[in-house]
Amino acid sequence: MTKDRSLALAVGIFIVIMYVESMQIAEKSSWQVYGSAFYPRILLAIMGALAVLLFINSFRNKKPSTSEKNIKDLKSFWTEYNKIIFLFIAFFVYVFILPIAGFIIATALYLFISQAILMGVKRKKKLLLNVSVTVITTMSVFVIFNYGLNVWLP
Amino acid sequence: MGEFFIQALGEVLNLWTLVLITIGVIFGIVGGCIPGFTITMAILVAFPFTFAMDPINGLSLMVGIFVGGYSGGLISGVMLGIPGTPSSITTVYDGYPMAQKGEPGRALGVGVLASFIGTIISVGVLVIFGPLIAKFSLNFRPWEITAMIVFTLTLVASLSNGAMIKGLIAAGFGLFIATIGLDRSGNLRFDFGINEFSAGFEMLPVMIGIFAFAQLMDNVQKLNKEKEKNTKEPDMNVHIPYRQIGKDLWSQKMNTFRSAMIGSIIGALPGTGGSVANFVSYDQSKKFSKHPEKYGKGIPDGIIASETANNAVAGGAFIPTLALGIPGDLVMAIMMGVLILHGITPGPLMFSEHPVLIGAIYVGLLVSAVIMLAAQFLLIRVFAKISLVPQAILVPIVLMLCAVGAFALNNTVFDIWVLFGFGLIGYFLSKAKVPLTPLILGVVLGHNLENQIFRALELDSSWLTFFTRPLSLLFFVFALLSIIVSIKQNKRAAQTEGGGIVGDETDQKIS
Repeated sequence: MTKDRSLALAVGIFIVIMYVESMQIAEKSSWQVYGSAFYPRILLAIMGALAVLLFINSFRNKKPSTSEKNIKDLKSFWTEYNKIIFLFIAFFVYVFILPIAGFIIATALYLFISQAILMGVKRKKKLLLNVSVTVITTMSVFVIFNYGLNVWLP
Repeated sequence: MGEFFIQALGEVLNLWTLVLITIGVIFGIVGGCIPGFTITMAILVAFPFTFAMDPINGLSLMVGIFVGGYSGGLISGVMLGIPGTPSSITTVYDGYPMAQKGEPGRALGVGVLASFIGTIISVGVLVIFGPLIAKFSLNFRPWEITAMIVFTLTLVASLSNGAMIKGLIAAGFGLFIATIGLDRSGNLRFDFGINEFSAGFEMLPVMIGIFAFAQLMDNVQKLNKEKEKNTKEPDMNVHIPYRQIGKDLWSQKMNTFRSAMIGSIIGALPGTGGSVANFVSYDQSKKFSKHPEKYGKGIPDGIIASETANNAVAGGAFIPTLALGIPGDLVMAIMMGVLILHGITPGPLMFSEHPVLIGAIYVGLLVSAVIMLAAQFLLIRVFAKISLVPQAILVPIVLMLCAVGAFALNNTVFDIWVLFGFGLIGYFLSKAKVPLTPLILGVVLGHNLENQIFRALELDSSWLTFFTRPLSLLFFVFALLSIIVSIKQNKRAAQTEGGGIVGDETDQKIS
């Protein structure tokens, strides 16, 4: 399974879902030249044709892709991507607790945890750097937006 | 022209606007000099701060970042040998060797002065050709505009090295995203029964999500890989030999002018930008030189070619955005977002409807260039230190600012979810080596394209009209040609390299 082939399949699935959803769009009314579903369906058709081309092309290039190794070697995949997965999770949690905990608490937590993911907390110097960056950034963004730009933050 | 120019001068030359431009320039230089941060990211992060400003102040800030950013990349290029942005890759070729030979001050000085001259000349090009093209494009009817948008998208897709099909899929996906929500007849499309979807997605969180997550996560991954390579802290004690750099520039008059022209023209073409301009200019300069063998060993000629050209992109890039309403690259797409947010539609009519704003952009570019020159000469040591900021601190802060920016748009958390959703999409697409620029341009141009197509069909229900009007036909032929040329080039590249030329090259399309 090359990257291109999986992409072509993903685009295919996307097109099917969107085509089904496009049935929900209102029918063409008397004063429209074409119905509202017409244009997005053209786009889906073009994307579909391109995805088929990509799919066919993926068989032509026989060069093994690096993505194939990843599946076999879960361990190296984990060492390469663990930080990124954690960062996405941290951001997800941040957005989730933002309206509940408020800007200052949520942001401080998010910054501290993300920096901890990226540089670790073992050394005292780094921990200190982390905490000071967290506090200064959170407070200055809060002050600039709330008082300087009159943008209310949760 | 004179009258509105003076009026614009009055608008820009007040303390608050000048302060904003200065902040913009400094932030731009900082953004440009931190490797992996890019000018696009700097502009995205600053975008939410312009919400509460009036259009002239907002634009001034953005213009400052733009000009500062293109000149910032040279600092880390010269000091560390790592280009701060893809627009200053060829600056490293001569800048780094020169610094190693004990002349970092000369390398930086020449680069900064070249950037300044490049900006000034490109503003001249903008002032002359902007209104001309706008006047000409006033004759464009929906058929021509449709054809032009299609051409822009195919060109951008075909310029994504070796990934044209994926580029076109990305453009189609971008156009599709723009159809979500209420359409021009008031019908709901693809809302999946979710209330918030009915207004469609805001352009900003979609753009930031797609671009920022992919870029920043990529930085994190590179950080993982390059952990062993500990860069030595360079000597930051730089002195700029002013007289010497004056002489260097003067002896390279023709080179400077040619590079500025190349930069302006490339900036005006869709899909290109500083990242292409510096390569073309460096190459041309070498060809015209009397001593091409010295290039790459630390001569000022190479630095001048690269830095003049990448800054000249600034003026050139505004031409299609303002005169046609079609942004050629990501930075301009965001700039267009600023204008739209303030209720101004870029396009040929802008020259007659908002002349002062156009004048303010000209003046803003010029003032930014002057401030950039001063800031670089005064603070270059500080910038050089900042370029060492670790990604571990940078990435979380930038992602948080993206979230704040998305939220500040409408004061809803939903927009941050949109940001996150498109962040995931952008990350996966970039992992599948899908070029992201056509996707973002698709999102930006989507509404306009649909409107133009159906306005054309309402005027004349025949599809053939798209191909019987000469200018419209011409653009469609160009679109087709861009695809054919790209296919041919890919085939040639595949024969020589055995396929799979995508690699890191796609990343370099982002300035």
